[in-house]
Amino acid sequence: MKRVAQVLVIALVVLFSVGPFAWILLASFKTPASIVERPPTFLPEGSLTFYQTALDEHDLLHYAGNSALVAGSTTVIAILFGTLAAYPLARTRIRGRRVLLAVILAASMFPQIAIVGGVYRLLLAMGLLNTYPGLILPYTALTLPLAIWILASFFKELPVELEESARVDGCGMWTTVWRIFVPVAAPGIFTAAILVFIYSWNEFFFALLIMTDPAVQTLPVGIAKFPGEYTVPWGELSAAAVIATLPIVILVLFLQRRIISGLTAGAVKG
Amino acid sequence: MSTLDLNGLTKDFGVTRALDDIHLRVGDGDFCVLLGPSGCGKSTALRCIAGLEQPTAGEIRMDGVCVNDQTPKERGVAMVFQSYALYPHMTVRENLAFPLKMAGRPKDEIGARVGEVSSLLRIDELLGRRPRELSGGQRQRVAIGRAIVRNPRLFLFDEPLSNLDARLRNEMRLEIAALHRRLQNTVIYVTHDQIEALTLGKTIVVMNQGRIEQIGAPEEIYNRPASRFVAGFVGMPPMNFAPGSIRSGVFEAYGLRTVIPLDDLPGVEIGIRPEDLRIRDEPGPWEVALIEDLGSDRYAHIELKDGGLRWAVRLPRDWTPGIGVRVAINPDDRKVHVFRNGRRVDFRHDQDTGVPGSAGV
Repeated sequence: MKRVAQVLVIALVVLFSVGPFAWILLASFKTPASIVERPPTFLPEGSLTFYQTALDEHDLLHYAGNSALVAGSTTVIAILFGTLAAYPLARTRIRGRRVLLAVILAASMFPQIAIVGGVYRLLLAMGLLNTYPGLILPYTALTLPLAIWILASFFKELPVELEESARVDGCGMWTTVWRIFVPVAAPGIFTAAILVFIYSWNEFFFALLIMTDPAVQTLPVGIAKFPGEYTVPWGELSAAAVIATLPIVILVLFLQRRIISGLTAGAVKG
Repeated sequence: MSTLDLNGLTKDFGVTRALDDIHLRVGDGDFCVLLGPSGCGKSTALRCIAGLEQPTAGEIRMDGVCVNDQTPKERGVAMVFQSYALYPHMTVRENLAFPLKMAGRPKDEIGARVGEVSSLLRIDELLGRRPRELSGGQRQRVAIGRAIVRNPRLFLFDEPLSNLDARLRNEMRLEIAALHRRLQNTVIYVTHDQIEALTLGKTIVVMNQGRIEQIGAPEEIYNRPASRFVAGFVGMPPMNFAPGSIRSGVFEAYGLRTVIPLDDLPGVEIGIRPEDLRIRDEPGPWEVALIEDLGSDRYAHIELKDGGLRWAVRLPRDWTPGIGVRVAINPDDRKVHVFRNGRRVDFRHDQDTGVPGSAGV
């Protein structure tokens, strides 16, 4: 009885979170005719018409490329600087460490709408509107606090003896970080990287305001431009949504093992 | 091969003084054990020697050269950590090879050394495994292997056995002793376990509250403790103490009387080990509270009815008193220790030969 209830609850939760996505997935494989049928059919014909239209007529790959570039760059920069900031925050007894962490966290608390005016004017003054750095820069600023927090709390859990042992074994500071610390901290670094990537991949608001030139627009903005004046192309939207979600799903599935695996097991007596 | 000198080594952490003016000379090939309760500064001393902590004051010399400003890498010492600190993302082979790789040794030399060390420690079959696939004892072996692989001038052990279960600990203790006999290297070994210290150490340094209480061979530490602290810390069950004074060459109190050839001396404390007391089956001021059977030896814990003292006495093989029975004791005069203001007061019995007793621990 208890088991049945458990399964039921889990099924409900899964239905609630996966349901809309499943609906979109199914809709994306329908045909222009079957998608507007009444009563609606559940199972699609398996047509790829919508995908073709989305890719060919709406230039989806172009937007995806822009997104990959912006999100990828943001992730690399945020994780690089995040690691460099988190390491001393986790390892040294610097004065005001807690205050520093609190300030970093506070910096990420501003709602986007509150800072967008300032960000826009800064980018305008720097001539970075409608450029990739114009988006990478604010994304990095927005995701860095999150990255630092995740990394610092993860680093703190790693046994410091590993680094000390490496130093005694003949490593300098950078060799220790590169050969011992980063491999051991990989699960934490990947976790932070994925979150940063997802954020910058999905971000819509800044992208909409900063990138007005279609040549540099990212995926969420590109998809938002699908609806015409009189029509909403549900099928193409669904196909585009599936294509936009795919990289994230693949990324998470691919890195899941690294994220979850207790890489530090066996290093020190647990 | 190497010697180590600590000259006035001092280390402060904020307002706490972890090490206070430590002077120590460790000779070539010595097995020097730093022994003391937790927080006594022994691990801090080791970390200063390794170069993981910067001393607040004082000098560390290796082979006569001051190494204070050298990085751990430059000092060329090897350390075995309490938690083993094996690199989890490397196999056993890679772990063993790592220090040599960092030293930039050629590949074939690394391979040969790793082979030598792994057969010495009997971990050949584990070379392809990751640390998480090893048992506690195996991890310990790998950690020791990683330390000896590059023939360091100095070995540092930081409580290496305290994470092992009792049986394995005994086994590894013997192995470490055998390894040292074979390699003849200079070792600094930190432990809070007196059995490890007494069995492994050629020299024992007893530490307390950041200071050295006594430096000496195991027999000396056991038979002639330099302070009340050493006397109470080394020995199991611990030494029995009683405050009092010496009058006309005699200490007499608590139903015991012992001849101590010293001038009148008030405010002393005498100390007697449980094996240096004889228990007598006749009504005295002491009452048996507990019998403790350790297998090889049995001890009676006896209480003074109106003195608040609780002592341990080793029992003879052929007699066990009942709980609550009143007994009398007398000490072996030659084995009585006298302490004043926490320090040992030396005196000699005429019949004292000075030969260390056969008393074990």
